[in-house]
Amino acid sequence: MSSALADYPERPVTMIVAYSAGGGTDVAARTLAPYIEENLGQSITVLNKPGAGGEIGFTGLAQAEPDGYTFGFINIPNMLAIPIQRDARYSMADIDPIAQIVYDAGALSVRTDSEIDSLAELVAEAKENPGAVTYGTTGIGSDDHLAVLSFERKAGIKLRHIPFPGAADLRAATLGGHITMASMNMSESVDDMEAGNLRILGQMAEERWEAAPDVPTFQELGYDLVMGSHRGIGAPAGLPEEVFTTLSNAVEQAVADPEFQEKSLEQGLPIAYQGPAEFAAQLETLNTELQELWKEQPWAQTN
Amino acid sequence: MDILNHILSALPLIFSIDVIIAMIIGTAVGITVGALPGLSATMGIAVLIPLTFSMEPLVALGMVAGIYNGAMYGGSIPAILLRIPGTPAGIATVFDGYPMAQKGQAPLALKISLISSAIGSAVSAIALLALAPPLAAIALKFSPADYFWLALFGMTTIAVLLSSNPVKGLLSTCLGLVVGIVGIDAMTGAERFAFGSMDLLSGINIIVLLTGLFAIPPAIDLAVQHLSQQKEAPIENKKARIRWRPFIPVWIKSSIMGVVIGIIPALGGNIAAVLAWNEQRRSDPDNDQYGKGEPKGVAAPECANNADTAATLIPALTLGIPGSAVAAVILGALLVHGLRPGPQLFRDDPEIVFGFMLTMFVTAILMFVIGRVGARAFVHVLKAPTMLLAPMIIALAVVGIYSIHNSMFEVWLMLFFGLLGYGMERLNIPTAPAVLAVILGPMAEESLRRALLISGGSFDYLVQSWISWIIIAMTAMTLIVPMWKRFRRLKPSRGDQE
Amino acid sequence: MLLALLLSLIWALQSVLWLRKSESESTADSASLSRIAVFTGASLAYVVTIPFIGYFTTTLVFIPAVSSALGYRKLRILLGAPIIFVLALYILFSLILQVQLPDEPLLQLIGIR
Repeated sequence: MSSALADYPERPVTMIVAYSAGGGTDVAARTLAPYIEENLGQSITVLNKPGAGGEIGFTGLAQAEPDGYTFGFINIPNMLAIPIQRDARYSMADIDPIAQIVYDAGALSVRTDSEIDSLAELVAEAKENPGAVTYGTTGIGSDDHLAVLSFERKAGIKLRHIPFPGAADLRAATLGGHITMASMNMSESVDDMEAGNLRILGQMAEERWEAAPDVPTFQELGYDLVMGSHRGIGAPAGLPEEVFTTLSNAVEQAVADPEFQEKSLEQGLPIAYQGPAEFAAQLETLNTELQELWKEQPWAQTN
Repeated sequence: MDILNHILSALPLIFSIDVIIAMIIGTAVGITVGALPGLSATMGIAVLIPLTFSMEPLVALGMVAGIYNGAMYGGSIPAILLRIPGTPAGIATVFDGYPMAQKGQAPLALKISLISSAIGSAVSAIALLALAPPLAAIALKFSPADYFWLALFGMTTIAVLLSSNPVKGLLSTCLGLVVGIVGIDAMTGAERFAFGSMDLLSGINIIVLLTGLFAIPPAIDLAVQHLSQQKEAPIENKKARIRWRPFIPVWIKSSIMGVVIGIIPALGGNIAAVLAWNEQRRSDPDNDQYGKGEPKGVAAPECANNADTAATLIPALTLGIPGSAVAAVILGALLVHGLRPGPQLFRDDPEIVFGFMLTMFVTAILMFVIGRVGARAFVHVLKAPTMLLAPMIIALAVVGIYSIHNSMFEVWLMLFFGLLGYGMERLNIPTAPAVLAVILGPMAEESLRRALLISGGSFDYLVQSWISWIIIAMTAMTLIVPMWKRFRRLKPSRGDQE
Repeated sequence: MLLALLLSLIWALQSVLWLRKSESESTADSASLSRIAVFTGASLAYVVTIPFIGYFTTTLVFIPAVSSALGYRKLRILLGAPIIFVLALYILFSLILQVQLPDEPLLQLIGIR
């Protein structure tokens, strides 16, 4: 048995992507794959298993053989949120985090010609007219939605949520003036900011982003809010130690590859590598926060 | 003029050997993919993305353009010959295309489809090249209320299809509406009709429904046909010259509709085709042949769904907002090649962007050439013995559906709908309304609820924009005019009796 | 929404009952019925088998089996056409489109993955 493990990997491996081909996660995964291949010494087949907000893919990952020949991309907070908001077919315990690759901070944006000039004004406007300011997100339970719910709690305001099927529709509605504000990730908002279409009121990272140095963080503006979309790699729980180390090393080196870094810059992907231990710890914290948020303000209808 | 400069500088780029070969292969693959039930342009391009990693951006994009245009036309081939739309956008082509084939006019129908598709694609590409920024601005003006009225307008098509047998048609529509409900509600996150099944949670894919309802029953029919019954429809004189003049207004109208619907985010070729067919039928004074084999009824949807193609790229390339599912995947492809879609795309990589637009135009023409070969090949397929054809269709449907999401569950779902569709056929219940209801029902419901959410519950929001009023007017005309005509026909007879 | 759903279901049900009353449908003689049964049954068996023996293998068996059950007898085409058909499918789906189809144990024995 151990001799087989010592030679890992001996045959091609599969990487599960829980979202459709051509989407943001898929593109990121396919961009990274060749570099992992180089460091792993075996070819990677990307398997798209979209559906149920990612549940189908995450379940597939959780139920795969923990032999290192199947791993996948995991999306946070989705992966954490699903078991909290419904009876999911997997749980956090079934998946071991290997690395965080991308951290895309949440951000609130308005049209450049909007009367709302800053985060402070937004809060003031919301306090004057509770429930009147409309904001759009990429869906119920999405990181955009959860970010605003947390913000509402911290600032003591009430906004009106308008869900959209995806970032594209959300942007269209915001740019068209049909809603007042958009809650999107930074990578989705910077292009419009640079083109002069949108004004970003604030972003939810711990530090300012070098690709957008003029955008203040929520913490700077007085709200202790750090939330965004994390994308990383996970494997079914219970991987043998050597396999786990081989895999996580390969991923680490792939991310560190200057070519990959350059490609990500081109694609506007905010790279934020975290190793297994760090990532796991962060997931624990996030999970607890989400559970608390759910108790106070369940973000989806349960039936 | 800036645009002209860019076009001129991009022109030599696309005439390099690599790009030309890519366009040819792309168009051929596109037509094939479009013609096979279960496969669609979205899937074809999505699958191609990783393969194009090592290619030059323009070569990859040339292939993408070919597949996109080709697939939109390809879907009409089996729609006409076998009553099986190869892609959802081909569903409206079945309405008049198949009856034409039954009358022995299949080659004519295919020819009309090809020319209309080529014209639609070309017009769309020109719109993309010349008018992208202003058209994109219009696209943004569409509010959720407008989407709602648009969906309702589309549903009047269902009303038209029902006119011969309302009760059965309504049954079909109800089926479609129920199927459309399955999944997670976008507004509340609640699960509807998922029965605890994870696979049903993301809703029922329209291609699964379409292939099930439209591909399986004909296969069963073919299997059941007795040898003696296998009659070949007499193929009309191929040399008959058709007069193209009457088609020109059809093409103009359908192209415009296709382009407009294309630029509206989230609406794709299938809606363009349906609305164009409906509108063509409504505006033609001499319209009782529609649905029974009217050539213009083939020209309109095919022109529209191809006019939709490049148009969906208009908001995609200028604003990074895809006009349809295929455009969304194409944006992914651009991303992979380091091209960030959005406002700065034109700034940073103008040659590639304009080069891509040019390939959309060139593949429209290529499609015309390659399409004739494809159509002829397919007609020969029909000469195959039915008992072989039947299982082959099943095999094709199975692998086609499986390819979409690697899900056996969806294959079974498709078979379920297939049996259901066969039952419906035996009971003379039309299947088209179900498919239309699946496309338009959720769109109408979601848009309505989103509009009401934005307005805080006030219904005034629904009638605020001028766009809404235009669509409401068109809907009213579609519904009221036929009733008015019927009413007027009744009146004189009443006068006689007095 | 629930209300609308309920109403449409009731409506649908009523329509079905009305239909049953007003039409004496389904003119199908026994020969056709048996063909339908054979075809449908074979198709279902086909799909059930695919995850076990693989798509191409089952298709290679399915097509000739069903065709001959339905009455087609020309042996050469019965065996030849499916091979060409499956080959074309293989090229299109496995090679060009790179679709991940269920594993093919029998073909793997001869060395094709």
